Amino acid sequence: MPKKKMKGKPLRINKYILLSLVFVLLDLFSKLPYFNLVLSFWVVILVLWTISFVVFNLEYWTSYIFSLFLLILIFISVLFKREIAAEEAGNVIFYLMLLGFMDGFFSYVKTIKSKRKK
Amino acid sequence: MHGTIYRKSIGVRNFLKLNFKYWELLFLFILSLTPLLWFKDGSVVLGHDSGFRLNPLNYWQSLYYSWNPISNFGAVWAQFKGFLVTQFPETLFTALTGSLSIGERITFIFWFLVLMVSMYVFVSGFFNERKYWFIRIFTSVFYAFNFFLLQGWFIAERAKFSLFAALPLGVLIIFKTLTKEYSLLKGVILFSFLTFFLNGGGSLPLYGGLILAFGITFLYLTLLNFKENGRKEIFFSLKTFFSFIFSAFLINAYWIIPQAYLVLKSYGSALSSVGGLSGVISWEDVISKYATFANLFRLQGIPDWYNNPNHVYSNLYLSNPFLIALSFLPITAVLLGFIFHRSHKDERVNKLYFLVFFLFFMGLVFASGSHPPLGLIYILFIKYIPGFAVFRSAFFKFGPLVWFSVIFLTGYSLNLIFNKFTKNKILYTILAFSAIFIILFYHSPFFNGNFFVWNKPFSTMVKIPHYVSAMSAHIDSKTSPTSRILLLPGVDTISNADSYNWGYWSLDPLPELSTERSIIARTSGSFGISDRISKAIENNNENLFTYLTGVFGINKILWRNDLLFSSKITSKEYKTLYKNFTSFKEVTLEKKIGEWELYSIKSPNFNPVVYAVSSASGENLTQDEIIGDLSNTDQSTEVSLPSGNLGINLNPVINKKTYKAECILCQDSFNGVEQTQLLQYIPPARFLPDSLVYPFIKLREYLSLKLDGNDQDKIVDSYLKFANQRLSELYGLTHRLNLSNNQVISDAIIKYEFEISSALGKAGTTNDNGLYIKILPVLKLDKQYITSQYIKGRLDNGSYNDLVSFVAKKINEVDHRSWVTLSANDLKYEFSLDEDGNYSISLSNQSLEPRTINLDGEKVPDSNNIPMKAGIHRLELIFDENPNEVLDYGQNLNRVISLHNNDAITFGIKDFKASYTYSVSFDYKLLDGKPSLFTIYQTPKDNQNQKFGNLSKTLYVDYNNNWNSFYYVFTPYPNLENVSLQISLLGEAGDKSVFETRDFKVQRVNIPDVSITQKLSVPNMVAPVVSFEKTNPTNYNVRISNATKKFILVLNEGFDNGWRAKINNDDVSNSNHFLVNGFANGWIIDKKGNFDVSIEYWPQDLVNPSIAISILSIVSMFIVYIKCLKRR
Repeated sequence: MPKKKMKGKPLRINKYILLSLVFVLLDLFSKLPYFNLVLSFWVVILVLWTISFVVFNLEYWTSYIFSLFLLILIFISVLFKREIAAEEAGNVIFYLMLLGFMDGFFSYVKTIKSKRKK
Repeated sequence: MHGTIYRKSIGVRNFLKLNFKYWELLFLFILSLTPLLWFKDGSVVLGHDSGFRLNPLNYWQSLYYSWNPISNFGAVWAQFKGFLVTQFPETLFTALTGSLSIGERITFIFWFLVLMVSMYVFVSGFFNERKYWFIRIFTSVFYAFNFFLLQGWFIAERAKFSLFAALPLGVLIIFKTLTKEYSLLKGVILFSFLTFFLNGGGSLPLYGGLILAFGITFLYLTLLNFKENGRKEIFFSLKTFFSFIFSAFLINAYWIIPQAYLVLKSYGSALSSVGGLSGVISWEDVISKYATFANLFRLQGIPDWYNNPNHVYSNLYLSNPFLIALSFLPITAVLLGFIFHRSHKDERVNKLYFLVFFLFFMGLVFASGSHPPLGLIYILFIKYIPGFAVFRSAFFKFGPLVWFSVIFLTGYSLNLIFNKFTKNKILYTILAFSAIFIILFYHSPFFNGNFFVWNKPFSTMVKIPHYVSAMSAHIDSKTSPTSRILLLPGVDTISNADSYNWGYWSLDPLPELSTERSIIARTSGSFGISDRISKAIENNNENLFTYLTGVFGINKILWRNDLLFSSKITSKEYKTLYKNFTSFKEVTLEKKIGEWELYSIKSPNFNPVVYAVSSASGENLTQDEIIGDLSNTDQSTEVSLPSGNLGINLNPVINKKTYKAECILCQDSFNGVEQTQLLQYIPPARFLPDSLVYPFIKLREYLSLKLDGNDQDKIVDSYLKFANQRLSELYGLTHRLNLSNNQVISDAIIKYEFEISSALGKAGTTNDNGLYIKILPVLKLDKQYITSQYIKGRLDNGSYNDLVSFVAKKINEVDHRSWVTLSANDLKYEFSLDEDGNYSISLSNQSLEPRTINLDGEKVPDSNNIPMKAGIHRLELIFDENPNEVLDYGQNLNRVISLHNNDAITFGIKDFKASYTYSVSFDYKLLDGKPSLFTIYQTPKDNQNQKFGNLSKTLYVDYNNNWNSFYYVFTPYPNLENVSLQISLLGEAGDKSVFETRDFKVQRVNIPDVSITQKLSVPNMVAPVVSFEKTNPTNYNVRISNATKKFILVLNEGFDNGWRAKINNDDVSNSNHFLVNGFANGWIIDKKGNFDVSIEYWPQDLVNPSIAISILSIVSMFIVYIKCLKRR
């Protein structure tokens, strides 16, 4: 008898657990020598966001909404001459925009392919 | 009546509806008149890097030639052919109006309009309907009114504007061709014309953004076409790509071919002139410092904006909360636009939308240059893609991509947002006009023209005094076309710029921009001649003055009374110079107009542009040394040739050979580096000896040594690099482990000592002095590092003392083994001879006779006819000690001095003369507190408040309560006749510095030039009679009469391999072409009788065929295009 595919809530919980585990692991690694050269706070956040994006199948515009919030953070940082904070937030926005854009672009490319098939 | 009015109103409305684009263009045209606000009664843009000339027509004509004789002794001019098109508008407008001021105004309007229209055409290509008027207008306005362009407007960078305008048009043409909206033929023709008219002056580095944008467009559309229609699209794209490249090449052949020759010839030397790849990357770090994504999103990050209190408007934009908020509007609109974006009914728009996003991301990556987090990509491109280094200053090269994409996306997104929130046309119109108004308001500096004043009182918008034009006209009409004019006083010794009290400032001397004669000024290509002649005048040495002006063919002096340097020095500071040269009997006043005076020099031994000589001396010297040594030759009959240089055997024509002895470390001494810079020299190691990956580090070092082979120089370099690495590992270990766990630390110290000993061992086996000279400063730097806070206190006392004494011992060892100057009274020289023979030693440029001369350890009784073997020799000059000329103003010598914050003690120099060289030496010991700062500064006689720093150095202390030594050879700035030596403490409140000094000495230094000369049998040569005619800057027809024996023909223009001599159309062998007098061209001519010689600059031969290719391409494309139109 074929196994029934798991749907809905139980799977969601697994995803949350997975995400938490990844967070804990990354956090641990970020404290180890040499790994801490690569895994900064923002990198951990970006890795988590990327995983969430894939796991929860988020819409591309969610990255842009997040970016808009970060823009406000940059604005405040620039006002108070916190250039480093502004720079780091800008880097994250770049990544989020790229992520959202790639998602949007690949969706668009798929539509082109389907047109050709028609 | 009412009916008529109604009908008329309907008519007007219809007219407006049908002709909406005319109205839009009219609106853009009105905005393009903005530059009229900048020009005030008769002012013009001139100076800095603007490239404007007083006579644009003459300059435009000079672009045809590949050699420009105006700048010093001439310069290659092949790289500027592209400006024949880019600078054509200003030439045309000035010629038509007969006024430079009006011509410039029209030129500025023209470029403003070109920028707006280019974006307008691009957007219209996709949004052609009337309802999209906002996108068209908004993007066009924003594309011309932005800060990226404003920082170019102060010098009206036409080349930049040209490519900025070409960007949207090029993307449009590629897009429409690849999507088959244009036929391939139409695409090719339009693309060719685009690259012809908007060519960026043929300045290849500026093409970075364009190449990237066009490349991405090609790849992107090929990918989409492939998805839609399969493999055939790849072939179509390739065909399109090569057709575009080929046709663009043909139509631009007139500048590409001459420039290609130059690029192939000089890319390597151009790269070395900016410090090689590492220099490019270091420069990039400076330019990209503020190119963060956060700044680029807001269309900021322009390097001159930051930490620049003199910037006219940037500080307002960096501090005003309202303006900061406005800077976020475009990127916010872009983000919102993406959120609201839904598939457009026009498929082209969807494609375009994603394409522009691609351009945006790639633009961000490249415009941020070497800035993290993605700076590594740019650095990798620089390092590993040959030729990519031409795109240095990434922000300026790739910035246009960011600006273009953000501007388009903002316009598109705002249209989406406005439509999303209102269907009301009136409200939409209000919002649309508000957006356009905000753009204009935000860029308000465009409307006042203050930005031309870039460093008060210097501005690029100047009102040219009448005497400048009048004197230039006099020079052009009354002096010979081959005249050479020396500018006095010379250009600013500190900035190398020519600047005037009426606002002009530029690295291009003004007379170069206003006359057609050769201008000799202290800029690159002058071989220091201007300085040498100035020094001869200052020393009232009339013979040397007439000799040098004669050799270099200088027959005029242009004296300017209106100079004002950025150091606030004016022409008045050069009274001695003026008094001396005007009293020389060979110098007479020819013309005085306003503040400018033109003098004629009647030198008895004046060399014309072409002449012949019958004897030559061979100099085994550098180009600079030959020029410095010229006073030893009688230039009327003899020239100096670089024997052993250029691979030419000149022995048959030279009567003596000269070698230069090098004074080893005479001017140089290690006085430590600033504490803050120590970590730049020895940065902390990433991987320490107990790391898992450390074996790879050792493997890499092992392989590196293998690669060095038997090259001792490289091996020593490697060992010194490894020693540096070991010290940085020691730093890492001492900052991580407990001192009790010190086995790893001991190992690291042993490894460091091993590397240093290995380097010294290699130097010992070859006994090469050059290797010791290389090791010595490294050891001294290591000592400073070890005794600094970074290592001291982190090691146990035993290890620390052992390490310090090891380094001190090695320094002592090198001092004894090497041949270096340790005192100004005991100068050590070294020289190398090619062959055995009898030589004479002569000293020049000396103010004191040495007490003793030792050669290879033995005293020299007579400096003539000394037998010497081929190979390396060592010479020592021992002088009686010069008197100590220090002035102790505060009785500070030989006592304990306590300085608190901002305290200073000052010394002076007895009978100080700016033309002398001094050594400053003293010992010092820090007893308590922080190290102090040693400063030397000079002031003009009339203005004691105007200080010019010559040296500012924190006194390095080894913190072991030892005496430290300071030694510095101080060459004063000329014309600043007061000097102060100061020891001060610049710290925070509560800081102090308690120290003691001893043996404080300031002595005049005398470092003679030493030449070793070998006499050879006199060659049999006779100089014939020479007459010549200059037909153009690249061609001389020379008539030789009564040649009885062989002779040397000299072209007194700057040496370049491109110069060729032809006798009856046969080239004089190129191996006969050599450097004469350190700067000019010479050929040995072995033909008798009367004959003609043609001297030509051969790269000019490329110009006519290249222009012919371009003209043929233009005509043929034009004909084909007309035919296509007719067929349609």
